[in-house]
Amino acid sequence: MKSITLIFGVCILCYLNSCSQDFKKLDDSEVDKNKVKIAQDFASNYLTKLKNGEVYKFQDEAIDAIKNQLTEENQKIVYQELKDKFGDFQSLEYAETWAQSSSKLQIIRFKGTFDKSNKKLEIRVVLNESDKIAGFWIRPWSDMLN
Amino acid sequence: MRSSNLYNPFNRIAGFKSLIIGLVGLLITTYLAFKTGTHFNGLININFAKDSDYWLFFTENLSNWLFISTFMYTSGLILSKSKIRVIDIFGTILLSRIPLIIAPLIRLIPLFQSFVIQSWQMYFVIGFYLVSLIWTTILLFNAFKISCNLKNERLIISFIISMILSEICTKLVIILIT
Repeated sequence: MKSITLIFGVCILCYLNSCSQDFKKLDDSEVDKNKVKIAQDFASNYLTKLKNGEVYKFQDEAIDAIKNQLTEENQKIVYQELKDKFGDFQSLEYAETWAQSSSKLQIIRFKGTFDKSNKKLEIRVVLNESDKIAGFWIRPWSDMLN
Repeated sequence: MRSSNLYNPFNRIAGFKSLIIGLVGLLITTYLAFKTGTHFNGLININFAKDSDYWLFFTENLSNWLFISTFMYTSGLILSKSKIRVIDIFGTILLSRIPLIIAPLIRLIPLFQSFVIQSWQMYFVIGFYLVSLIWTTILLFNAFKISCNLKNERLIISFIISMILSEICTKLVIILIT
């Protein structure tokens, strides 16, 4: 009975693990510093512009879906919501990079400091294989990637 | 070591001794929680985020303990006919929280420091956390029962009410400080 329970438990763990196998956290030696710089420059410029009451003007650094989503109006609305809840953007520091094997996307995570919050927020930039911005989120930091 | 000591050591350890052991446990648990980003944000909640300074982790653990002890002490004063010692309540409650050290201890292992949601690592840590939480709850119940000398309905109802009120107050404090 014990061995059946053990086998059943291992099967469940294997199944659960297979659901998350697509993502791999990269070691520091595997991280492409250029990609981190692209992501950091974008996130930092974007948030600094909005903090200063301006808007971020996209060139060709992002895919169309991002440009269409982050219109000037949306940028202001989203930043105002952030500011009301967490305060103004102060700074960001690099935390970690995850790679998604099936799509060759890289998820680059930064910890952002906002002046009204005692907790760091996650600033996430997703780069596609052409190093274009394919995703951009700001949310409470979690050690669990979702 | 008798197995009953694992869930009810309070016939042997109480008062000042339990407070000192519990304080050492609190400090070690808080330090490990800070190092691993394990938040005990509420009496039963756990969250994994290396996102704040040491004082925030310390406040979370401290407020958990102070609220539950205060509510249980108040319940004891109202419902018990026995003489209740503050140090017994606060000491044994603090000692009861020592099993919570298990989750941050596991998270010291690099494999459990940063992981994908719904991964086996997540279920592994939460599984062990649930075991430690059940263990802690049994210890809390026995600490309350012995320190306040309560029985039957009075014991069960006041324990549940104290737990609920502590959860609400702890959550409020955490919201206010973050």
